[in-house]
Amino acid sequence: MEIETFIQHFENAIEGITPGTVKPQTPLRTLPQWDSLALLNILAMIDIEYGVQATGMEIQNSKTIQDLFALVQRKKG
Amino acid sequence: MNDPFSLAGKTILVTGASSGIGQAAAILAAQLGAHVILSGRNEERLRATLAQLSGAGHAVTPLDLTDFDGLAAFVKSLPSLDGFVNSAGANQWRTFKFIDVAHLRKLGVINYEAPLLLTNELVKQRKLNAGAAIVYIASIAAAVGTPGNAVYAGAKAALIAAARIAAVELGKQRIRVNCLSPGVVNTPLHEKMVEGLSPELKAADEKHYLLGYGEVADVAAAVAYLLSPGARWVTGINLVLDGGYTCV
Repeated sequence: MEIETFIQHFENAIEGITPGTVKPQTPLRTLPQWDSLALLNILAMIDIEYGVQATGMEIQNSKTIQDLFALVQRKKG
Repeated sequence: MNDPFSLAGKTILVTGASSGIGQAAAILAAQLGAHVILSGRNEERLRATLAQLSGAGHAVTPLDLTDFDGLAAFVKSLPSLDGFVNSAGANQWRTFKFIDVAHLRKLGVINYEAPLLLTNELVKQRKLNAGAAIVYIASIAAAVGTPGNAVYAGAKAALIAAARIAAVELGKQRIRVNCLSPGVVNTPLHEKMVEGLSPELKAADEKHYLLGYGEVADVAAAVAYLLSPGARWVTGINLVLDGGYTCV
């Protein structure tokens, strides 16, 4: 599992993000496109691309992209 | 004096009886005198529901509604029914960007195909008494544009349309078929759906409801009405109960 690929999936999942703008250290909440629809899309992306179910709570508790990536890695085991 | 809302002596099958709306409907039906057959996947939670039922003559019959091969045997094991409440259902957010075949099948199977196939077996095996009442729990989702809800909304809309036709076909036997379309109700299913959304977002949504979100007891009362002699003349309808959401 590569974080670069994860970032690509992340950017693709949310409307309006220019590819290449998101970095591992990017705090989720600083993204202007981070709204409830983005949350739904990220949940779906994680399910489809990584085959694991995250919860909205877990997403909200992830501060940065790196945290989110680590969460998915943990769930995959 | 005849109580139009009494369910005394009636045998009612409830799917999804282990939690939420199904559980509340089963509890109220028992309170109104019915013998309730509790169905769901989780036997432990069904027994917990059973423990809350007043009266006697109830039963627990675990069933995975999505295991279509098992439906015939399940229905064969049932007594004749005066009511069938389909409360089993599931939801999961997917915007159009992420709708895939697996999602479509998952929500389609439990929300649309299962109730229809169960109805098919009940009719085929003549398990519904004359004058029986069927209630399908649908949703206002079928009529409103909630982002991320397309497949669920489609499945519920399909169920409502099919139910109308069931009403027509079964009317000759005086079997009534009605849908109930609740708005957001405080249930475990809903909790799971909105977990992780901010309190502000949740409050903003509830503001759209003149009377706030619903409680399972609200929906149970409507189920009981549709099952009762008081609803003798009601069939083929989709009863909306949504705290005023769709009238705004």
